[in-house]
Amino acid sequence: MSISTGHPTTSDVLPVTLGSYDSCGHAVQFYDDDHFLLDALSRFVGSALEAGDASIVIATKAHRDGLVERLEARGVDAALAVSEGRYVALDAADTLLKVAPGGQPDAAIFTSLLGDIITGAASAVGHERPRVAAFGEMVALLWADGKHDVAIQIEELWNGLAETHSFDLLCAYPMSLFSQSADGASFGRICETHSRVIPAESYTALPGEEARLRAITLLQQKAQALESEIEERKRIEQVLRERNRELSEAVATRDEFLSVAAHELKTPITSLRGFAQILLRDLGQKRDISPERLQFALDTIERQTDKLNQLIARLLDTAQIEAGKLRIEPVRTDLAALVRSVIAQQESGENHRFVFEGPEQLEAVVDPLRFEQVVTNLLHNAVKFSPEGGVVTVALERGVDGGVRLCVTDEGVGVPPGQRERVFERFHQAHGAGHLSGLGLGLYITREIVALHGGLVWAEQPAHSGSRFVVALPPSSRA
Amino acid sequence: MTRVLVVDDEQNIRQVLVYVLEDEGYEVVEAYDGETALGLIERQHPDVIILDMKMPGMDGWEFVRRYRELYGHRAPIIVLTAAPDAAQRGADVSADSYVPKPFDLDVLLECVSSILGTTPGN
Repeated sequence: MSISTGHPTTSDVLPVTLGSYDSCGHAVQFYDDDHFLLDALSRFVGSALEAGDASIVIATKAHRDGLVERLEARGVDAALAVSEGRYVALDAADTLLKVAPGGQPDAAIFTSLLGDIITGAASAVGHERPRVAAFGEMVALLWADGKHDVAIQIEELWNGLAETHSFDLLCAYPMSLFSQSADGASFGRICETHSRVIPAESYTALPGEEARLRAITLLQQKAQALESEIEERKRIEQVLRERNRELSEAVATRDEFLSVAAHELKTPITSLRGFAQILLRDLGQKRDISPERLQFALDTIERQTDKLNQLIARLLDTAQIEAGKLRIEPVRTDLAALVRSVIAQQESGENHRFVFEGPEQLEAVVDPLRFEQVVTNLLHNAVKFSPEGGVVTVALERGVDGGVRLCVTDEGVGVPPGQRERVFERFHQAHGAGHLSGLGLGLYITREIVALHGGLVWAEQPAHSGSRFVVALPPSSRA
Repeated sequence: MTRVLVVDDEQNIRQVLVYVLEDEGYEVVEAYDGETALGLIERQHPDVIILDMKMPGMDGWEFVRRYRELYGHRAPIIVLTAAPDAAQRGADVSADSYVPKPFDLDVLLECVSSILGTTPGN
């Protein structure tokens, strides 16, 4: 048993080149290179003239001159054919001006002008059943000019003329006019207006059926790859747009943060400057400062410098967190004592009542300074968002899993359900419009410190009003 | 005696203003937010209002809106603001004048006396 690997011996595909003047109806030839077009054209026109038939060429000057050179090389006496009236060469742009005055094709002018030329050329042929081979590139000029609809109208007028006159028409378009994927639809419209479509030379110049089939296969693969690539690019474009939007939002958030931070820093500075100037005025004008006023001024300066220092510390902590450089140094620490001492600091300056619920002693391995910061932040928030005289309950306990749980519960405005995750985001202020003070960094830093200890922090709604913040440290923190 | 209403949520800043304005012979009334300030106006009839913009509760914007509704332009308003563009902020609420924070006491006093066109004792 053998398998035939021979080349196909018969072909039922159309001839793909105009090898000689045959009846092509209304054909369109696509081309990459002018030389190829002129060679094809000289075969089309030359074979007609050699057979004693007629030819009409409506082309650019360059193409008309190139054609005459090739006809002469072929041994065709173009000048003689012109004098006999069998060969008519017209300029494409001039003819276009006549058949489409003002840019709009005139069917009556087109039919009478070109009809008369075809009839005249046919009558110059000395034998029965004269043939006329016509070549036109007015449409290619229009297309290059972006006048696609007018070109299609001209193609249709040629088709209309073929109903009353006998001629074969060849049109030609350079492939370079269709280099965008958006040209696909109009390319299809051109093909539709022709009875025969001849591919450009990268295909038609191939020797034989086998090479052409291979070329088609390669083109199909190229088309497939391009389709996929376009899809992929669209997807990437979408991702880029999305990413760009996120970045713009991040920049807007940072701008807003900078303006809030500047405002927050100016407030203590206003007090410092004000009191410094008050004291200077007293010295300058009264040569005396009342002890009461001096006490108040110095107390304020002391507190406001501390506030400034804390604001700056938070900004620096945030910078460290963002750079991934915030470190903790965990050591064995009595958390009960630590929490009680933070409460004592808060009590001195605030009109809130603090209740501590927890054991006398509870040891865990934490970074004491950073953990103190966590407790301070949570107490500060509880005070900030609850009314004067409100109770703040701080509960500390050993969890059933051996970890540690710290709950700070207040009787304040509470955290709206939709905000319970977002309050921990950088620069976020759940009650921004109402309270407006602060950088929106306290809970962000708190969450990061707790996370560095391997723990979690979250917001809850207690049974009554107010809010509860829970810090849970893992069993690994056990001393 | 010329009466000044100082509206600011920061107690320290109010205290600075109380000291310096009283030293200059003004009578000073304090409020820590817009709502308290509105409540004081009917009884105290201030001659000029020094107003912070960012305050919890009723802020400066809302205070000006309500004040204009109730009293029009009875007392001039000086906006005291830490915003980057103090002039713009003053213009936003059509204030009569503005002083940026952190303020200079002489600039503030100059602003108050020029807006009143008088000296404190009159």
